[in-house]
Amino acid sequence: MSNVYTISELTKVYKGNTKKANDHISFTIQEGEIFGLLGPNGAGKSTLINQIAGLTRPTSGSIHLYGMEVTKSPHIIPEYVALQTQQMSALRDVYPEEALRYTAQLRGCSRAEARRQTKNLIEELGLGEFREKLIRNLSGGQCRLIHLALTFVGDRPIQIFDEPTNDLDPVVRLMVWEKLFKLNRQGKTIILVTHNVLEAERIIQRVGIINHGQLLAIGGIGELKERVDQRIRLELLLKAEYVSVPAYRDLFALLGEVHNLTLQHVIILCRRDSTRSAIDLILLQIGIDKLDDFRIQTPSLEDVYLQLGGGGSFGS
Amino acid sequence: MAHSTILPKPLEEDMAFPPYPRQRASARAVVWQYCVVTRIMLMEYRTSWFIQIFMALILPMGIIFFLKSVGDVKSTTQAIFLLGGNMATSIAFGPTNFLVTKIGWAKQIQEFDFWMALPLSKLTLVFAIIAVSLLFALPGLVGVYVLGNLLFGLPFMGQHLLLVPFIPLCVLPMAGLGTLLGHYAPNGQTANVLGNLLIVFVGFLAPMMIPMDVLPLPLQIVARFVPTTYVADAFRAILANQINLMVAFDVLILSFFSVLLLTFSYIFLDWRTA
Repeated sequence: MSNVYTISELTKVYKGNTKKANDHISFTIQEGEIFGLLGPNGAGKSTLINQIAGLTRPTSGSIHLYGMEVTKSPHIIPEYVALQTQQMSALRDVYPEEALRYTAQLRGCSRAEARRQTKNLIEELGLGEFREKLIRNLSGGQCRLIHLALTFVGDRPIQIFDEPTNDLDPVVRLMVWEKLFKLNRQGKTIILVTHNVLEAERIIQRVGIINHGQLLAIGGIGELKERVDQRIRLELLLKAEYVSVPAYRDLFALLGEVHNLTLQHVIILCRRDSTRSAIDLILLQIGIDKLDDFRIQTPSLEDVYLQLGGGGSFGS
Repeated sequence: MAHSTILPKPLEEDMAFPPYPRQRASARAVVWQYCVVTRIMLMEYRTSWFIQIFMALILPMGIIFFLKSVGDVKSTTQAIFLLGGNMATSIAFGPTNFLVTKIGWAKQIQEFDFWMALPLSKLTLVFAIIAVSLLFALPGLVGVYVLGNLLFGLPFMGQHLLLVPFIPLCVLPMAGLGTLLGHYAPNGQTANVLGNLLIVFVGFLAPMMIPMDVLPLPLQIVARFVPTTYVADAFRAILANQINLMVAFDVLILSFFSVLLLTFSYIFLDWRTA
């Protein structure tokens, strides 16, 4: 795969600050991939995407977009890149339809094309029900949806999203993930910053983990999963009336490393080769009817995030 | 839209080719973008246009009403002096104050992030903001002119139409000043304070309603470097129908201030986070 972005030794120190918000970060973004950027709050994710989107000037390092050095010519970036920032501070007193139509026009669409794209997005994202309201008067979730639509409009080949599903209800979140996946199938390169690791795992193809301004790990999801704790996670939710049975606690300790999230909610990390016998023992000695929930999980993107992103191993 | 194209060449072998060539905007495309941005900017004032215009009108009109009420206007010359000064003050109250607070708050709430993420030049955005401020200046100016003439008993003359082409030249340097002050305000609250300071300075510490020779020497010196001094002079000359070399001098100075302050505001308005 060819690279759309090549980021080299990117460092950012904000004015009046000595701490590096980004510290010599180097990586590439490949054409047509969904790249996820994960990390805790204040890790430097937004600073990084603001630099690659041309909103923030890097202190040092370079950014190449389609081979063009854009560090000193950030005005080139919006010709190929659309960005959804976390907040939407502009266009507060316009109607969603106007905002979409004019944004499309400013991205170079003709009037007819802008109207067509606006109509399609309004239908696709279900924005019709609040088209009569000024953006200022919309709820947080509705605003987020408009903000996403403003990123989609104009059909940029690279689209960057900073926490796209914040404030959205589960149904709309699902629709947004579907939309991002659809865009990717159409060949768009998607760069995603999110805390919603479990949902993002379904669509992210490659991931970078950032903390304290440094890129700690980067690679395909499978590749990174191999680098974390390989134990299988057995997650049990005991029915309330059985939480204080001592025999069950003894059994859990026998099966592996136990983490009591609550009295009812228990996680057991057991070796791969003993997973089957552990499940058998749980079903035999406790029984499925005494459990409200029972899940068997291999390492997830969340484990990768927690373990490689400076969060420590599970439960720490 | 007509565009000339530039096809960039990837530097490295593993770099992807751009899916389409870069678009270099033609003059027509720039004008089109400018119209779209100005339209959006105007729409942004759907809910606050009334208060913006009201603010530009109320204070200068209140001052005229006050001066008339206390009976301090004894001659036509004095009336023209006060009316010209008030019209210049309304520019400071309206578009200049508007720009200081607009830019100051836009920086604080990161409004520019939206515009920066679009293929739009900073110049287009700056000129769109200034166009809106110019538009907001008009009701204030017209209101002060009409009320002042009525209250002071000055005649409405055909020559006063000369004020119309003169207005942009008076607004532009003040718009540049407003943009600069807004940019240097660290946050929205400070921008509000700067706007109020500007009103106090222009309204009461400059030769708008007080003759230059009555002002203390330091203020007389400062007044020479403030565009409103020349705006007021020019307005007074047009109102008195005395178009002479002094007006030409005012036009020259205001043109100089316009170019200087707008260039500075373009260069120093650093909308990318440093």
